[in-house]
Order: sequence, then structure tokens, then C-alpha cells
Amino acid sequence: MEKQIILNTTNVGKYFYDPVKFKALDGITFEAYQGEFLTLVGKSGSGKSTLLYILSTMDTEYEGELFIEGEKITGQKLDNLAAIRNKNIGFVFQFHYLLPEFSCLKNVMIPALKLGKFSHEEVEQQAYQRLETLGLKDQALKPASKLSGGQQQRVAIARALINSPKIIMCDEPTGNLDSKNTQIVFDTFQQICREFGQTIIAVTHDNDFAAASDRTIELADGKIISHGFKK
Amino acid sequence: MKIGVNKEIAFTHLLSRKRQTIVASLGVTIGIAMYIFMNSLVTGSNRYSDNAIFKTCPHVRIYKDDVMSVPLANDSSGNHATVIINPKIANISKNLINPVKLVNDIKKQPEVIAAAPLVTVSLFYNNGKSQMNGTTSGINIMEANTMFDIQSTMVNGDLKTLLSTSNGIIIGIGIANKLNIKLNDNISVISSIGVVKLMKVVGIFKSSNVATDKSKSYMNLAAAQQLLQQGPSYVTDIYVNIKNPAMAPAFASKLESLTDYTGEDWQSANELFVAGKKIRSVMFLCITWAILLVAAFGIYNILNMTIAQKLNDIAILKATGFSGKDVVNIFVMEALIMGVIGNFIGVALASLCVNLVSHIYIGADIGYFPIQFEPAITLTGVIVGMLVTFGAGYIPARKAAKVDPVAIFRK
Repeated sequence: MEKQIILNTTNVGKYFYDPVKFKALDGITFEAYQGEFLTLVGKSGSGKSTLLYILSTMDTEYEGELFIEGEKITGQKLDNLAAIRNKNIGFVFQFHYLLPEFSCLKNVMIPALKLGKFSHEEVEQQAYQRLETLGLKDQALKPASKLSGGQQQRVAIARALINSPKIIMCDEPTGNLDSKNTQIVFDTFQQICREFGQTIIAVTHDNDFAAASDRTIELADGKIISHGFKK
Repeated sequence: MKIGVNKEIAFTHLLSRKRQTIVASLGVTIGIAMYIFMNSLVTGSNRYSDNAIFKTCPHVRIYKDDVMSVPLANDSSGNHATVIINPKIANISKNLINPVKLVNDIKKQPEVIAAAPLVTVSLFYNNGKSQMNGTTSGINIMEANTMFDIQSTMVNGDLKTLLSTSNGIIIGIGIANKLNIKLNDNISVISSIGVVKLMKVVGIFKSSNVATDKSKSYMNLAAAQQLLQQGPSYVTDIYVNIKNPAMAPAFASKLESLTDYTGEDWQSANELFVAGKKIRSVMFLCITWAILLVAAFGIYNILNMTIAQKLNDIAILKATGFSGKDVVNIFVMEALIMGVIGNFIGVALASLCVNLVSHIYIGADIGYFPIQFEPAITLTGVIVGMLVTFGAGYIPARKAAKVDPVAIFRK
């Protein structure tokens, strides 16, 4: 079966200028396919996070080109990029980054309210559903800051899923979690790929996590050293 | 929907930091309240002093100005020198020609509220050996009343009595006190050309101006004409009041071209007063703006602090698809909400201050402090207040919009 390309880059490079000019990424060309659970690994300083932020459309200062679903992203206006992120990309960060003043439910709802595709009531319904699948329904109305780390990370995942984005990007999603929560997060990700055909691109240090994913791209010194296709 | 979620975020931010919100709003409250209150104060006292001026001075006065004598023969060829000895004021009568038609013509102008012909006479008031000089206005007293509201200054007698008393006179209280004259006493007056008349005091007035009280009197037009030995068509001035006193200079020059006589507006007749008013206005304008700016800095400061503390949140919002515009939207909205709260309480506070001050008794003919609730000033205050808060919100909000989420997440 021919896999559909959801995201690809051609020859992406990135420089850092502070403190000295330094090439963090060099000639990155790869594809991510629909429904794929892709992990980016590499030593600290290998450029994997830098690459993720370029893929996320948030970092716009790079060479080369980025395409999402065949659409050229490089060079688009910032407001357009924000709309693309809202619709197509969900984020999960290492330090869960929820909005502390809002309830968990609101945190999950905000990207959907921003998208404006559904009414407030429908969004609320969907947010409840997401939280329920992640086992957090009874925490829904608590302020985000009152939850444990693992719970917060699951809320963040619910938020990343709310708009049913094509791609979910994660920066060390399990870096801060104990093994039990890591397992929950991992299972959730696998389910997302299998059942909903969404693509996950995750940066990780966790070798077990990477080994269990569909494919692992390995970076070293800003270059891809292995595309990780299974023989 | 899009506005909805931004609004929701703005409200949540404000509610989760109630104290900061209230402090910033109170800054606006005080700024707006002071702006409205001080401007009401200036407007009220200006209105009072304008009215005081208008009790003796018409908006426009038409009279025949003195002219200098001109050479009898002008030699235009330039071969001969024009000789005239000692040019001086031409001794021409100050009479306005055909005053009845003139008054009627003036009254036809749409701006005019009232126009009255009068004769001004310089004279001496005598009682026994005591003598005071002054001026009298021969005028239809009811017309004069509509212009100057003489009735409100009367301390004794009634204006209407003058209409039925051909030799009646209404004198200032200063004259009455100095010459020891009471109501219905007789007073003898001598005009500048030596005509003596015995007048009956039918009223005594007390204006806010002591000098006026010591010199001014009113009598019937005919009596004043007799004092100058002139006939009933003799009129020296026409007093004109118009709807908008501020337009007096323009109207005066219009009347000048219409009538060929000199028109003097009240502003040029009271230049010192007008200058004083301008100085007061500028002074208060500076003070009120200074207060408003301080309030704006309060909002600016608090939003700046909020944004510095919320860099993380802004980065998340941007990551989840909020554009720079949305972020500006959120923080400007927060500023505006604080502005609205501040404005609302500010207007209430200003109204309270105005109400309190308007109950302060000043005395004299002012009575209570001349201040009242001014809807126009309140509206300006609210609009200015909102503009200032918008500005104070927009500057930090733009900074927030420029936050680079990658830089935040990388830390």
C-alpha cells in the first residue's frame, strides 16, 4: 500500500548566531506519512528540537522548504501560519504548558473555540469526550494548576487532539513523567495513529519510547544519520 | 466566535488578578473624574462670569464712532501740499440715523435674540450738596431686562413702574447709599450739556460690580433724550444680543457692513476678561491631561507587568493557533475593560463631586457655587478616557504580539 505523505522537507538548514555562527541543522530532507508514529532521536545538541520547531511552523528563520499536505509553508505570512497551526497541528510539550488560570476543560476548549468550527456547546461536549478518553473527566472543572504532572500532560494531549489535527508534534512528551504515566501517554499515541490515522512526530530521549514507535529518525550534529525505515 | 474566545481569555485574565484590575481601573476612575470635574468647574465659572459680563455688556454694540477731520480739498496732482491745521475729532452728532428702521432691520437677522435702541448720557446725580457723576442709559426697560436680566439685580422697587413713570429712574445701590436716597425719593440729575431734571427713584439695583453700582442708572428713552435736548429720533447706541455669544465678533463685522456704523463685540470690549478666561482654560487643560496621563501610565504599567508574567501563556496561545492580532486583541480588550470600569465609576465620582461642590454657598449674588453636571464634558471625558486606555493597552499588547514562542519554549 502506498503511504500518503503528510509532511515533508527539502534541504532544511538552520543557523544560530549567538554566541558564534553555528549550523544547527544541515540538509534535512525527509517525509512523514499519514498515520505514522514517528520519533526523532539524537544526542543533546543534535538539533532534533530545533527541527521540531521548524516543522511546527513557529520558527520561520531557516533555509530550505517545508510542505504540509503538499502545501508550501515556507514564506507564508505569520497570521496564515497561526491558522495552519490551529487547524492542522497539535502540540504536546515537555513541561505540559497549560494556561494556569483556566480550568482543564477550558484549556482543552480554547484551540477549538479559536477555530470556530463548532458552537460553544459542541466544543464543550467534544472537550469532555477527549478528557473522558484520557481518564480525566472528573478533573475537568479543576484549575489546570491543581493537577499532577501526569494529569496535566494528559490534558495537554486532549488539547492537542481537540481540533482533530493531521499532525501532532511532541517535544519530550514523557520526559517529565513516571513510567506509569509514560505508558498511558504512549498507549494514547498509538491509539491515535491506529484509529484516527493522525501522524505523530515526537522528539524523545527515551529509547524504549522510540523503539516502540513506527519509525525513528536519528540525528547527529544537525544531520540525519538514519531514516529508520524497517527492513 | 473568534471574538468570543479572545474576550473569554481577556475576562479570565482580569478576574484571576482582581486586585491589579481594580487598581488600574481606579487610576482611570480618578483621571476621568478629575477631568470631568475640573472641566465642569471651569465651564461653570466661565458661564457665571460670562453672565456677569452680559449683565452690563451687550453681545454687540452698534454706535457711531468718532471720525477725524479730513482735509477739505485733497490735491491729487501732487503739485501742491495739502494744508490742514490741527486735525481733530470732527464734531459730528453721534445720532444714528433712522433708528427705528435700523433696529427692525437688525431684528430680522436670524441670529438676533434682542435689539434695543438707547441713549447714553453722562451726568451728575445730586441730592442737596452731595454730587456723584455717572452715566445713564435711556432705554426701554423691558427690552433691557431681556438682555441684562436687570430684574434679578433689583433690591428695591419694580422695573415696570418705570414704564408708567415718565421721570422715573432706576439707580445703583452705591448711588443710593452715598446720596442717602431711598425708593420713591427724588433725585436731581444734570447732564453733560447742563440740562437739569428732577427724577423719581422707582427702583434700586445691586449688580456684582461696585463701580457699576456707584455710577449706573436707567431711565426712559424720552427722559434721556430730553437731558441731551434731542428729539425722539435721537439714539446713540443699539444693543444687540445674539443666540451664540461666541459668534459676536463675526456678527459685529456683519452688522458693520450692513449698517455703516461701528459694531463692537463683547470680546473686544472686555479683552482682559477674555484673556483671563483663555489662561484659565489652558491651565486646567494641562492639569486634567496630566492626571489622565498618569492614569494611562497605570494601565500601561500593569499590562506590561501582566505580559511579562504571561510570556509562557502567550507562547502557548500562539502555538495553538492564535495570531499576533488575536494577542493584541486580548490585551487591548483587557485595557478597554479596565477603561470601561474606570470610566463608569469615574463618571459617578465626578457627578458626586459636582453635586457636593454645587452645594457650597459662596454668597454675594453668586449664591451657590456655579457648577452643574455637563453632559457634553462628561461625554468628551468618557471618549478621551477610552482613547487613552486604548493607547495604554495597545503599546504593551503589540509587544506581546511579537513574542516568539520558540524562544520561550527553548528556555
